[in-house]
Amino acid sequence: MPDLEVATRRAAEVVVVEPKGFINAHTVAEFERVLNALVEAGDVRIVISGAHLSYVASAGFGAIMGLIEEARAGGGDIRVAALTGTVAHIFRVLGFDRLCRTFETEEEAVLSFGGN
Amino acid sequence: MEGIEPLGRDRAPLEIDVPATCECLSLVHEATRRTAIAEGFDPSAAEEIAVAVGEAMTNVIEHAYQGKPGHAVRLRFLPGRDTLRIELEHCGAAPTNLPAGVDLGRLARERRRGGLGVHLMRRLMDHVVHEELAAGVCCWVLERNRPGPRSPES
Repeated sequence: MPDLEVATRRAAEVVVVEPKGFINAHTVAEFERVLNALVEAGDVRIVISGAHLSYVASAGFGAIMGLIEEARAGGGDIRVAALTGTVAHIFRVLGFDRLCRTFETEEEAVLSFGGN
Repeated sequence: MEGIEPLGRDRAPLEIDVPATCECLSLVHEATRRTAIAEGFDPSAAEEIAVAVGEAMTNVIEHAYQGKPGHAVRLRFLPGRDTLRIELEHCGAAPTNLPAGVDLGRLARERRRGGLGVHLMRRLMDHVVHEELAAGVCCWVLERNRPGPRSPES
């Protein structure tokens, strides 16, 4: 099994990105490739589901940080859902909960795009 | 078990040399995580320690050695009475300035993807410093306090 697999699927006007495995400086290229391709294609309403992540190093959070303003400038956003354990803890200690909207479930995150 | 010291009480360090490549990050993560668990940290604390050590390793690979191949990092685990100390010794460049903190909003507006590693290390560990041990030899030192009350003699 690879260290990281990144699946995407559409839910209405939103693209759900589901990384499985871990994101560090070695595996982040694949995560960035998927996010870059979405933003470049104008798919700027993005939900990242963290349900299947074992850990995320700063490289993974940096990938979100580097693209979130691009997504917002295009009328969308990058939102995060279903973070658990250490991933959720690191998200908070880095202060990402102030940069990025988070939701308990993927469904809530997708629905949150309904109004904006 | 006579002759074997109890876990976490000033034993000799465990030391391994690791190629300074991103391919080795998961190995370093797993070695650190398992060592922390063996030293009595709970699984979530062990995972945090492993992430912090991975950040130090990444800093050495990307900044000290500037991503150039053929270098190594000496990873040293030193279990003490009150802390687990982890050292990453390298022969690359020392960081010129370590940020005191980060402004995520500014980094995001500037579309920056880096600049979080040292901050994350400091948030996850109780003590983080970068030392120059000798000419051309540097070391990241990370310490995490052991859980629970300190022993009376500490």
